[in-house]
Amino acid sequence: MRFIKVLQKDLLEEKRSWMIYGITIVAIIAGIELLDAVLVKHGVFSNTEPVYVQFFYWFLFLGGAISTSTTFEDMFNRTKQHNFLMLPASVFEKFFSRALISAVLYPVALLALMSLLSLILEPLFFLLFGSPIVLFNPFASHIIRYMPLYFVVSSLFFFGSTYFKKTHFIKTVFSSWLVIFSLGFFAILFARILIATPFAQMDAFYIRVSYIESNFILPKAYEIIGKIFFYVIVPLFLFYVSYLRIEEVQSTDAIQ
Amino acid sequence: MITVKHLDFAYDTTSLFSDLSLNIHEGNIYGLLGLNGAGKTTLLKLLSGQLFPLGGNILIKDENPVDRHPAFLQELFYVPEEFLLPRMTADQYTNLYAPFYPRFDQSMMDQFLKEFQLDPAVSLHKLSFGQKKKFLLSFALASNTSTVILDEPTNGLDIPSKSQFRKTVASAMSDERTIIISTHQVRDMDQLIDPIIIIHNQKVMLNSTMDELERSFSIHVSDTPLTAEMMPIYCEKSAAGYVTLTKREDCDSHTPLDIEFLFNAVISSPRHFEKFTGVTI
Repeated sequence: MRFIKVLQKDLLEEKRSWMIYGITIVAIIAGIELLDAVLVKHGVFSNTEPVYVQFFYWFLFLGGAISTSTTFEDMFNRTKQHNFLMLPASVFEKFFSRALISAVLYPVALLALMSLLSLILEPLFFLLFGSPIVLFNPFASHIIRYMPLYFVVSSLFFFGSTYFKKTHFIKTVFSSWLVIFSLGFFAILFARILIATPFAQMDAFYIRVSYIESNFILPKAYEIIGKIFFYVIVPLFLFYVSYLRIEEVQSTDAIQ
Repeated sequence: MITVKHLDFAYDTTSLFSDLSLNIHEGNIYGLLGLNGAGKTTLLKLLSGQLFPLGGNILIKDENPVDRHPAFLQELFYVPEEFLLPRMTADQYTNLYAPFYPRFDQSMMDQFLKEFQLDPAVSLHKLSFGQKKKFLLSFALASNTSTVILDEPTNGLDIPSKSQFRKTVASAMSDERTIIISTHQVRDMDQLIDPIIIIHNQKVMLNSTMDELERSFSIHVSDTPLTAEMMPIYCEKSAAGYVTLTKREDCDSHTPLDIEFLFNAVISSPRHFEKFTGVTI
């Protein structure tokens, strides 16, 4: 199946980068865990909380956003672009292979790496320093519930990687903030008009959230619609627009 | 068969091609010539679907390059002038990319690598630019695609490799295959490219076989410039004297034409070559 070949090619071509990234994660986690275990053993401090979960969030969201931002770097590179454009595969295969890597394979691989790391480090530090064994649970609810949010973040940076020709990450962050601030501004403006009376008793842009909460109780259906919009419609739309962008890319889009 | 009809293309406001038409037939190694900025690379990118025309259309075996269908892409290999190869060995690259080309011939690949003195186990990023080019040329020819597009293929090749390049391309040629070579190094392509396409001033100025041209034009070398009665088309002063191109009266015989000289003649006197544009639309 040609799609598998495209996926294999995309993974193997970036094998070195992924390996360096994986080694960095291992080095950071192992280093901090080691330092923690040594300091606790010598009574410098009593923190025994493992760092896997908090670092997992950092690597998932920040690491994921940065790596997703570079997904289509070759599409805009003058000396690499022909390799992407001329590969005998459909636009959908080229798109889907990379979408799968950034939105699905990356978090799965990160979960597997964190689990494996904790399975190795925790017993090792228990034997060496007597640290309590606290394993990383990839199926814990506080881990799983962030996956849909990662899907949304991933789709946003995936779109940024197809839309911007360079400095994809920074431009995506700035443009996202611009969109969020604009939407927020219009939301406040709309609220100011809709609930004019309580606003009269407030400072210029200060909204009493408690007032809104007690006076504007939205039906549960609205919350569900909102969640579907945010977690399903928005990422699918961004992926679709990314697909269209890949379809229309030409060699004039390449930069030096 | 590649057909280009009434092609228009521009970069921003600078028009590069206007109503350009061109036919390219199978079983030939075409040489695409033109001055710097004439649009040779742009034309190759339009043919391969890396650029989209602003007007007119291009068909390669009834496929529109703009669609970039996998079926079209697996029948066309494009070797750009400058490129980067992934960090892997030549063998790994071949194993990864060859499955995309249904008629890829591993024995041809091994043979070409051997001829170019390349080790399949070597890391591609450790190769010099010329060696990388020889590797990609080997892969392009071994892919057995019906169309191969080579943009300045001899740039970066050493002298023995240029000669090997000619032999390798000639050996990979077949009646079903079309190879288009864009080049400034016409001496490197001597005895290889035929027919010749010359693009100039947004149009195809010449699209003809060397045989047709040699039957229609002759070259005279003299100590003094030819007189007007001889109707010289183009004259160049060289170490041997005045080299002049004239129309041939006796169409049965022919003398070899130097491509570089012919190119200069076409650029300076295009009207004499109007019937050699090869356009039959």
